[in-house]
Amino acid sequence: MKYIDLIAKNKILGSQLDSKKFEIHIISNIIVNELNNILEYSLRTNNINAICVKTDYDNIIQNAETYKESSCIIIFWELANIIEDIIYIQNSISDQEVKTLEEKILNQIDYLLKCLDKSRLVIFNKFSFNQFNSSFYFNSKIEKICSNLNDYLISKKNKNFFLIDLNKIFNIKGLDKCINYRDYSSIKTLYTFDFYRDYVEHITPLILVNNGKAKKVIIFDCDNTLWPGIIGEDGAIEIKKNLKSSTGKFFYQIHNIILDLYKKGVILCICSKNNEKEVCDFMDNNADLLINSNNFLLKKINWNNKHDNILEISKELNLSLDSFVFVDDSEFEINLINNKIPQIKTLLVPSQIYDYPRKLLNFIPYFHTTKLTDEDKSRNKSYQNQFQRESFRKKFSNIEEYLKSLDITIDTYIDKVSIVSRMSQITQKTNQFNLTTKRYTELEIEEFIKDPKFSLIAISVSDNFVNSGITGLCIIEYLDNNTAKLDTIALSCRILGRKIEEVFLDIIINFLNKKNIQFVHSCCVRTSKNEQVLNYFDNNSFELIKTSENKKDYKLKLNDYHYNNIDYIKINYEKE
Amino acid sequence: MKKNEIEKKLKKIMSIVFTIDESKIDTNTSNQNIEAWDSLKHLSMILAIEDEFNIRFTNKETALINDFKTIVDIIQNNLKPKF
Repeated sequence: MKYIDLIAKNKILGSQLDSKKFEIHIISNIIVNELNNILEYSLRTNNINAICVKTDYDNIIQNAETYKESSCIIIFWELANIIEDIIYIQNSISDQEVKTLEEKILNQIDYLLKCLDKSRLVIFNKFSFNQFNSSFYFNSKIEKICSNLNDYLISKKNKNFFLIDLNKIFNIKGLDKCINYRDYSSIKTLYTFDFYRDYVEHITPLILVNNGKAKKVIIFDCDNTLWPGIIGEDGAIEIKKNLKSSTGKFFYQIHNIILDLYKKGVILCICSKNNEKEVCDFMDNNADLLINSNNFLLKKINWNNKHDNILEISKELNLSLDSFVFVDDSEFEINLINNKIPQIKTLLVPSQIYDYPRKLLNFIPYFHTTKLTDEDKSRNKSYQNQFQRESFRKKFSNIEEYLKSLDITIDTYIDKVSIVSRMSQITQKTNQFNLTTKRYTELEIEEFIKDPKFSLIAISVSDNFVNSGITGLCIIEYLDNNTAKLDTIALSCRILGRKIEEVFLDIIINFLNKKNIQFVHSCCVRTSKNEQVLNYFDNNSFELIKTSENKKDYKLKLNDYHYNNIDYIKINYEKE
Repeated sequence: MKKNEIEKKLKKIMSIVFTIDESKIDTNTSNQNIEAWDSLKHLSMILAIEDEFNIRFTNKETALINDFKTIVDIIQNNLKPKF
């Protein structure tokens, strides 16, 4: 897309999105204005109402204090402009002067990071000297400064602070495509559109994941997508032969990426027009494949259209379509999905198969949370057990009888430091059973735990089939000695429909009772995904006190609460 | 590319970069009569033109880019086949 069309479309998108504004401060000692539109557009097309706030040029340190509250800060701190023409005068600077300069910058980094240590997301570009480096065989002074500063940045890295290596973009695109040498000297604009487009492509997944918009599911076609050839036409023997050919090794690379995603808790599915038995037999009786049919949680291998199959997968997993990625070698199928379900991200297997593994790798950042939790590692297993449970359920005549047979146990955890990552992840990833959909970083969760004005109740759920791990969270804020507010109630969709929703509220109210709380305030904020919780408080003794367009406010007198008292769910209260 | 096609595209670029109505842009438009035409917008316009027409101005040309008529001439010059 031409830049001017991008500006026009960005403007339109900006006027259409009515979700909460996501403010981004790009602070820099060079001119980076052209980045604003490209970044806003990329995030707005992903339903984040991004707005790049105007910042002062070359006032990184002077204005550091003012960026404390920003949702996202991006730092372009260019060595090339730290001192005018430093690249060209470096040889005439004494070693002592170099040392003094380095110390000055280190102190400034310390100050800046101290100012931003509570910020939700800080994206800091590593220092680079490559834009103007000329020597291949000795280290210039600027190169040494650069390396020391980067080592220092790495040592300072914390949970909300991400370092971006610009050299990787220079490597991919080439310096001449990235650097605007013509305008740098006159107006201090160092980078080109090409550079910004790549840069934005790299940081967009980071911002999406930090906004609770990580991808969770990847669906593969089979023929020429998981292996070279068509099983129904070429047959197993021919495909085995293909796997040993020069093209075959690229499919092994694909298998390794798939296995890595599996281990990281990404849900893998198959959607293919084929005969199911033929595909599964081939996958499970073939030592030449690194993957087998058990790696794929749901398999829609039939002759129905793929659009319907994918909608079914979404329904069965209870996950929304915008958390899906679809990979297919057929342009027709990819176009169909792009048209019918535009919220799904798609990958067409490239015609040059050597490009395929690299293109698939580019999708990986969209899946990853900042830290892998135990729940991530066991997610596929947990879902598999859930499906076993579903078929077990069909044997029972009523739901009550079935739930009783499951022996559900809930363990509670109060203000538990060792599960901070998972608690943050629940706020970031849970959309459907989430009353307020407030996203919190690990740092914020840590602050809540330290703050006596807050209590955090997390629950883990297990039954005869599986231990689902930490899958529920409530954040309570104490307004005074008698009154508390339910800031967050979120439950993972894996444990819904088993009365845990009701029991969790019993646990919360019981906890508040012990704290001698008499009144509870709560609210439900409507999003496009949390339809199922809109009457949660109405159905559980709370009194509706105010309704506005997207929000309902409630109040509860604790004495009026009717406990659900579901006797077949066992609760282990953590000893405080 | 025909001159009127270049003019049409340039009008669109200027109207989006300077946030003014296309109908207010004509051959007399210059940095003297558009208030929003500051150094940053000037650069945005240059980069947008280069991106739109797939050309690259010389340093000398960027210094001359101050009015609609001259810009059209420079673009035309850049689009001529070079031997």
